[in-house]
Amino acid sequence: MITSRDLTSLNDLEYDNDVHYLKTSCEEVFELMLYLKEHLSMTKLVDIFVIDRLKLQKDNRFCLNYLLKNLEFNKYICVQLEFDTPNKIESISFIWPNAFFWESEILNHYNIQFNFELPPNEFSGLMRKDFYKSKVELQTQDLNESNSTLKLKPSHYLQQNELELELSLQDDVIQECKINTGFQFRGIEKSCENLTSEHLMTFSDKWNPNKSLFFNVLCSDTFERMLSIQVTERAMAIRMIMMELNRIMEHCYTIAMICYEMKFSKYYSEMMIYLEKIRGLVRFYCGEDISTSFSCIGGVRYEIPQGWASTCINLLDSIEQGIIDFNKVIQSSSIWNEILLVGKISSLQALEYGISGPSLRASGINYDLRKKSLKYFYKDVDFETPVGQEGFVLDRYLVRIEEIFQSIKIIMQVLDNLPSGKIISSDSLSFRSFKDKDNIFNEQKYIDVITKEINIPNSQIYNSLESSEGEIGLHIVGDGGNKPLRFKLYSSATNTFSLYPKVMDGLDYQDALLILASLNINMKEVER
Amino acid sequence: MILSSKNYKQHGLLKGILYYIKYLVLNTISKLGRRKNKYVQLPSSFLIKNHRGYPVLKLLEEDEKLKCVGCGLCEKVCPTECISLEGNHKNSSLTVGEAPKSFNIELLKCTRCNLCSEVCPVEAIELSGSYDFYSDVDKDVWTIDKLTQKN
Repeated sequence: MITSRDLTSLNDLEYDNDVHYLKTSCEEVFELMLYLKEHLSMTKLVDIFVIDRLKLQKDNRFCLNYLLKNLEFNKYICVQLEFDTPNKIESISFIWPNAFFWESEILNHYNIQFNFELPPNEFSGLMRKDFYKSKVELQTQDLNESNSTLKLKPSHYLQQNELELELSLQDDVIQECKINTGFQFRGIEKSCENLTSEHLMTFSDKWNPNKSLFFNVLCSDTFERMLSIQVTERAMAIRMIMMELNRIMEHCYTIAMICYEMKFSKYYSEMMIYLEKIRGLVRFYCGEDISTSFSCIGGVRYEIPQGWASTCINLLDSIEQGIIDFNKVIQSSSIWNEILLVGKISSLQALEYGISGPSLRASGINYDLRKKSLKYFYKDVDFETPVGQEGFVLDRYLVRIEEIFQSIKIIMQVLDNLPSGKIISSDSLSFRSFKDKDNIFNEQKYIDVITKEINIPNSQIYNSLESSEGEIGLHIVGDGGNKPLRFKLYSSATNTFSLYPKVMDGLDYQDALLILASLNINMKEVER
Repeated sequence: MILSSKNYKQHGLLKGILYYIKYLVLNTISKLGRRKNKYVQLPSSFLIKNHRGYPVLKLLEEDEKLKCVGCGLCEKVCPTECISLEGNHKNSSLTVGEAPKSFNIELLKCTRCNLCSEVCPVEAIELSGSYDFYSDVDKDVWTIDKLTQKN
């Protein structure tokens, strides 16, 4: 067991893929966390999750992991606890207020007790390894009819997300706001423990259908880091182009949602037309626009067809001109600059809750993951990251429009200098390296690789990317077989989700819906 | 880069009316000479060729028999396990063998991921370009007769 006096600086520690693993006991956790936050400046809490090792060993069944991050040097520390069934664990929401969401989730899924209490549930203990199916009965709820509460369910005509908002009003001013969830839980993580690595690529684009290209690249990138496989240069360039195209699509969607809440229907339809044109480009490349699975372990599955690059350049030129005109016309009206000055997020609040993405940059903090962890070709391409002044809705709109222009600049530079060569590297462990267009090189190995799939080594890994709304990450734990032991998804939408009820201060319900539209929370990432 | 303070300026009613008149006049003058569409249209033939539709079994050109050899590799690769085969494949090489007796695909489970056509050593199974059939399917399972129909 390591006490808090042994850690003095970050440079003395050993890192394994930028992560350092620590082991402590249950009594010393709270003091360690205080020491790590103040002296070693670990300002951000990324993730909390549990590994269940019933089949491997009988004692010390559970393993609690806390992932912490240092923003300046881009390093992680993972604190691990091992126990059987403790009495009660102290919660950390006093230090980092966004830890409450994951601890309540662990209470629901694994039945591990914390300091606080929650009402009981039928499906408690769902994620344990010895959980069996039981009968489920439908429950009916009593309707609470009171004059001063307004419930906005997903079937309401004003609601666009899959949330349930409970607003208690008094003379049209919001006093309190509660959020109820549970509409989008699909049990992704438990069903991913039964899939091999090749099947996970085709499943990874259904976790969030709007950002399917980001999750494809993330899933294949973590496996390549675990097995230490090199990717060819042409595949790196194609992956970068697809990620920037998805970023433009998502920014067009949020701007369209802001115009929809302000009842500007002409500008809403103009932004959706741009979205459909870019989707046609992606469909031209790989055959599908929503459930694309274009990347695999070792490279990319499809080659760029003839005529794609020239149509791409022409389309992006016309879109750039269209958005410049759109921005000038909309900002010349006095309504736009006055009504959008609501929903302020200060920089202190943003750092405490761990937000990332364009809503962090709109509050005045200059942080971009593409410039910190220099992957594929981001070190050779020159682009800038826009930073706003205060945290209103107007700043988030301005930052997103500037990011569209920077993404177009990146795509033009990559398309001018596309490297030539193969798409898939020759030392990838999949069947594609043993097959050419017409012949198979080695038939015995071809059959062997397909029947017995790739073995995941006995280690942990954490990998992250910068998507259009923030940071997304994957945590994979392997035990030597061909299926993962534990599979954990992380997205920064959970942090904005826990911050949202605290932004209301004397607002209408229409302003509340405006702020929701500008943050772009997708509940499929929060609940999985 | 920090955004310039020009974007945060507010103005009143009179200035807004002047901006509106200025853009009205400029936009009408610039659009008088234009005849073409402002946006670029993608050619429609590109979209149909590459689109992933429902799976189709191929036939040889000389005598109308199945190209399929019955090796069973597509059954092991499919992530949703919707293919089921019955065939004897005891030869040593992958490209020689007899056609299978029965070949069933449950269409509602297929996610059109294109893994079965990548694995096939003889290129016997393919994803065609049309997807209109999903509304007319009576039963789930498709046998050899329906998979080789040309429609």
